[in-house]
Amino acid sequence: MDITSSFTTLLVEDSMSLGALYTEYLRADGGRVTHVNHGEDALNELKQWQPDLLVLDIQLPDMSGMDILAVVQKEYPDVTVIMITAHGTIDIAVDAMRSGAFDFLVKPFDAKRLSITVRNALKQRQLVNLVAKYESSLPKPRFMGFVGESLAMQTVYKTIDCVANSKASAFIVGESGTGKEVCANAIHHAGYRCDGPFVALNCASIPKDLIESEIFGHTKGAFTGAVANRDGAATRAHNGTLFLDEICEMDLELQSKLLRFIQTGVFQRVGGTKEEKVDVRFVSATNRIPWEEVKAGRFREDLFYRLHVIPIELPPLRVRGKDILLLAANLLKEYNKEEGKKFKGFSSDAKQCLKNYAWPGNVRQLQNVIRQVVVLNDGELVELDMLPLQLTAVETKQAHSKPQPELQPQNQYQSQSQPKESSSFMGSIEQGSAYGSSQQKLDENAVGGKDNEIEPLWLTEKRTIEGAIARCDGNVPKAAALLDISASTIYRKRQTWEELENSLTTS
Amino acid sequence: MIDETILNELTSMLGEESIQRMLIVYTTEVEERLQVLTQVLQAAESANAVDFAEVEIQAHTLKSSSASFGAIEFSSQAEILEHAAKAHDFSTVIEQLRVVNDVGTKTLSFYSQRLAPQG
Repeated sequence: MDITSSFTTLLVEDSMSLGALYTEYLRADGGRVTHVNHGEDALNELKQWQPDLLVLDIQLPDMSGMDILAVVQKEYPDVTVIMITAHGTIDIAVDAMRSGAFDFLVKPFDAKRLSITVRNALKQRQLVNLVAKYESSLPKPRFMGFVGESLAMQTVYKTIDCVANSKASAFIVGESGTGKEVCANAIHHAGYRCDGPFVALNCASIPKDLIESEIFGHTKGAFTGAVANRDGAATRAHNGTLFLDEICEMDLELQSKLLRFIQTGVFQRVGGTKEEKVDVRFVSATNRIPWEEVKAGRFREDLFYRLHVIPIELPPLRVRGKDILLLAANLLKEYNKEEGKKFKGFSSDAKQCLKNYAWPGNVRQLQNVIRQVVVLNDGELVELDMLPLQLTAVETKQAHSKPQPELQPQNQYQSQSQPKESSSFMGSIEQGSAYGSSQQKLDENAVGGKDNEIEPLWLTEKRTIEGAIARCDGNVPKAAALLDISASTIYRKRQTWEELENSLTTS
Repeated sequence: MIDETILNELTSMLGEESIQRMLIVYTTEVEERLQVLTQVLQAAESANAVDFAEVEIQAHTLKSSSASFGAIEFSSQAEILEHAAKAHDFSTVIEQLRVVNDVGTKTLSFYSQRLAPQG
């Protein structure tokens, strides 16, 4: 295709005869030309439409072409500008090039000279567009609060881009910690509602009796404690987005009220008689499988179809490949800054461990792990032994034990590859090397002494705490942090154990 | 006074019909701008002061458009006038306004002959 086959030009030239001449030249090259004589007219035209090329005389009756160039650079940077100058103003034309003009033509110039410049300008536009297209096709390492360039996340980004400007309800599904609220926020901020409010409501964290009032608001005296009128999330989200997190936890009775609200945009406050109408875009999320909830009768089918218009599935961290290290590096940098530390990266062992771990708590768990590492350690490199035991213990276990039968996941969005041993932190510590690596020994420790003999609780507690201290090379504050207790608690308990042991010895 | 090469190039590039149209636009514009300059000259002669900015703008445009349509002599004289106006050189401006008017009129005469139907 000929590069000049179709292009639009705004020609700003105060001389009628030159304007007519240049228009003919440009038309001969395939351009669609609009000619204006004054700078003000040019600015008015630019407010209405943006041409491919702006052919701009520097000396105009009402303003300098340089002023128009400055406006174009700021407001319409995609327009390619060719300046026209007379001999006396070549210095200004050079300045114009520095200010972003593509080229300049010195009067008088013939059709060939103009044609070459126009072709060069269009070629450059074509290349710029090609680069932009190529760049947009490359994986984005960051997107509206997300970090990750895996294929799974690129798909999520593309979906968010596509749905952002729609009013269609979006339904986000994914395990806990995968970023469902980040996703809802991204949908809101990427679309035309970004200047409106984003109101998030967690249906699971609000008591059943209060959730209707939280969504729709209430009138004074509607129930005990309703001392004044109060706006609900629906009112506050007018012209914006209402994010209903953990939607599957919503009571069936309220689901029917929500359905009507979604269908009509109309609702009544609790205790109110007047109907209110709002313009709200709905985004819902759950870590359950919504259709399973419908089948089990816990979620209304009609509500499901209303909300589940555009499903967005957030991938668990374990399937995001190199995103784990990308996220870890980003978090390390962020927490370094917050905590005044100087970590520069991860050792290869630590990286391997991070990559191999199943991350049942997803990104939220990774955040906690990196925060813990940064707070409890100093240095330039995060080493394997700085990582919490729940990560390294799994590695040890995986290296020494034979494969365990697969556990049946409760549902798709609960972790499918959580560590097969206890996923609890204490369990991980107990599986550490201080108490051996065989499953038999672990079982003995978990129950107490040998032969299922029940022992006093303080002995079990002592063994757990001392085991943690041993795993931390005697570092009591670190063991305390990992055990989620204070170091002073450990010192106090040690004193108590000593007293108990002494009393047992003497008795 | 007229560079025929430029006119011929324009004709071969745009065609006779188009160049005729262009020349009508050009000569109309020259007439209008010469009229403005004549008024400036009359005002200058009576008030002993000249609107240099107006002279500079008109001379600048006449210089560029005339060069593009082959009126080389007229373009050169307009350029001298533009520089004199820019330098606020009163006597040269007055003198050059008369020259420009004279050369401009001759130029218009040449183009009106060219535009006249060939009998």
